[in-house]
Amino acid sequence: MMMHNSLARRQQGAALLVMMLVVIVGAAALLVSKLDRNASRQSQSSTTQASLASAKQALLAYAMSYPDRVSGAAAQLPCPDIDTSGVTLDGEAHEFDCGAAGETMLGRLPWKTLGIAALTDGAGECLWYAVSGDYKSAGAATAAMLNPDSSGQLELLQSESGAVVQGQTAASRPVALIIASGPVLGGQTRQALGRPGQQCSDDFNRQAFLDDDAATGVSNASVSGSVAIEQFVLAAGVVDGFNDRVLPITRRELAELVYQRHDFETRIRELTHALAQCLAAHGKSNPGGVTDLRLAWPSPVPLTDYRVDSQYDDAGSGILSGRLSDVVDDSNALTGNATSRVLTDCSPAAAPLWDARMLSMWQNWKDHYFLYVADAFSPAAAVPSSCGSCLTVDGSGQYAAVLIFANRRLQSAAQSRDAPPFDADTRDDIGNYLESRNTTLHPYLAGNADLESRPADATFNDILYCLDTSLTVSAC
Amino acid sequence: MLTKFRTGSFSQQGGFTLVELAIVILIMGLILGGLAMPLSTQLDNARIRETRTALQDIDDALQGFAMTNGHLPCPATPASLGFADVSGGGCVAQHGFVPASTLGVSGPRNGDNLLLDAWANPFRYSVSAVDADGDGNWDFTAPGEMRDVSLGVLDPDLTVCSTATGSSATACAGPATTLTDSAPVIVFSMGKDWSTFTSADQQENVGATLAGGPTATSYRVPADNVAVSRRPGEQAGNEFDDIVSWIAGSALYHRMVSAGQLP
Repeated sequence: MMMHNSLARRQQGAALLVMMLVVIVGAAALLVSKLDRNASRQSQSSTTQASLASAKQALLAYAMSYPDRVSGAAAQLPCPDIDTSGVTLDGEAHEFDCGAAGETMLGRLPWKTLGIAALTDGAGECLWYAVSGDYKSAGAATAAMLNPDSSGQLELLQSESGAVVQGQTAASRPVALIIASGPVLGGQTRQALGRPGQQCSDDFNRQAFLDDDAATGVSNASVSGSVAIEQFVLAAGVVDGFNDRVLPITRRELAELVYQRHDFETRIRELTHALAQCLAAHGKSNPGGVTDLRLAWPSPVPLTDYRVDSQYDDAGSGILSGRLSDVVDDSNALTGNATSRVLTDCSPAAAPLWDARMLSMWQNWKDHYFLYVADAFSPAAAVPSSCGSCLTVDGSGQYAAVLIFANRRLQSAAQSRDAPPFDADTRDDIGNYLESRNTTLHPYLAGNADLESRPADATFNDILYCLDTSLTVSAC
Repeated sequence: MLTKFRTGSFSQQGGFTLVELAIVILIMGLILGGLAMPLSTQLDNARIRETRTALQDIDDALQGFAMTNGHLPCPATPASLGFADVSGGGCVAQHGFVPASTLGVSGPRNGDNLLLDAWANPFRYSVSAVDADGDGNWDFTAPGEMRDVSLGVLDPDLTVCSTATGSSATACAGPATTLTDSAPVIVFSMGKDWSTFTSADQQENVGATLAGGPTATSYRVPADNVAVSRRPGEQAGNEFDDIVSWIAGSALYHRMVSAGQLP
């Protein structure tokens, strides 16, 4: 009996120990698996962030080196990969089928065009990418003018508050967005990878990847298909039915790449010098002979569309200060000059510094060029051309004309260079381009005007090239 | 007394274990097995992550080197003990190892002082040997050559394919299998199963050998400008676990321009 009792006790004890062990191991397993799940969720999110950041770096690098690959071009971004039909493949930018000029495009990140591996987010999905119409490198649909003052066409809202987090002003509107679609949400069906070696899905149905935000009513999957400001949504926290992650690229980030290149000023000076040579060559080709050095009138400062070459036209202007003209028929009516376009028709024979890339460089920077012409050298002046009172720069010289490059916007002068259709026109004010006397002397009517030139600082950054009374060009 | 003891001992053994113990062992086996499985996967994943991070560090160091020196370093060879192997101004090998000592990258090294991945196998490093102006200097490794050749002309030629099928020594089978055909640099790890490379894709990455270090080890290195990068696979004859990384030309130029080394 006693024996039996002790036996029972021992059995119970052992079973309890074993049970405890089972419970502890079970709990440990549960804990580890939960930790693992947390860790993997965190690592998914950090993978997404890292991929978005790599994509942004690659896009900025692509834009920065674009002018080196395509001579004279601006710092453009690639078109998205829109589908795999036709001549373009997985990861290639749809450069020649990329919407109308100015139309914002949404598709996959063109990783192959960028030269990088196919970046995926934490859910293993390839990244998506939207690019502003004016910034896309799209063959014939490329913007007629692109420089760091061109504004983006994207607007970023926050799901939780509905507030515009980026894009209240022209300067803050993103020029491009990179979007990570995240895992599948209810209602989304995504095609799996099919072909061997394929990096991203052939499924270009954006609705299956990018989400509709219920709070703001904005869909990240749709763009309007016309020239408009396109809205996208990001969420700061967890929002039901929305798991896109969005990283914007601002025009400032692109602008810094352009301005920080240490060959920027050299190249701009070359261009300005060459443009001044073209103008001089035009004056020297008047049918009146070597004594007739009359030049062309500038174009008005306010234009209907600053992007269009043919707007830079001296039509009926008869003014002596304004934008550098390309179309000069009205001046030619007085001078008899046969060359109707000063810059488009310019050639290295006439202007030694002129080369093939100069015309596209001018096209991208054309709103930055301003011209003062001495009244003695205007189309309406008497021949032979000679100076009574011509232009001077800081009190010295006698110049027939002065060409000015406006350079980057100055914070100190609160310069703003926005334009319709999305913003009020501030390009119509020469004070948003030039500084000090170069601004206040406009409109210049007759007599002596003393322009200003000095090394760039926080309040002045105009670059001047002068044509003397025999139309010889020099920096001044 | 004796009987009593024997009886007691007998009933002690029979009354409890056999069934219970079997169940307990079964349960514990299941739990431990369930734990151990993800543990080994996790270990593999951690090694893959570690190697990816190391590759990222190497990419950063290469770009940093280019930002300060204006060119990329030559690959290391077993004989150069972790330094870029340069001879007469040119590189001794186009395909070799990460010159970790030249770059100042830290990490485990082997007996030939080569930088190791998480599986204790050296990282491989290839650099484009293109010579656009035909002056005998490789564009990307000769000092000053990138600037001389100029940004608009530089066109590196290292190629990464998604499969070795149909690839040549200079190109992939076609555009559909080309991941890039213009990388200046490729760095890769041979992955977990580095000692076996039976599939065509893995052989493509290490078609040649390089030896000559103090340990007299003969290492596999790339034989040509074409590498393969694809998703890992275990299917017999089609295994792949190499982790391949390359730098985009534009990314390299971007960093060098911002550092004033170009244009």
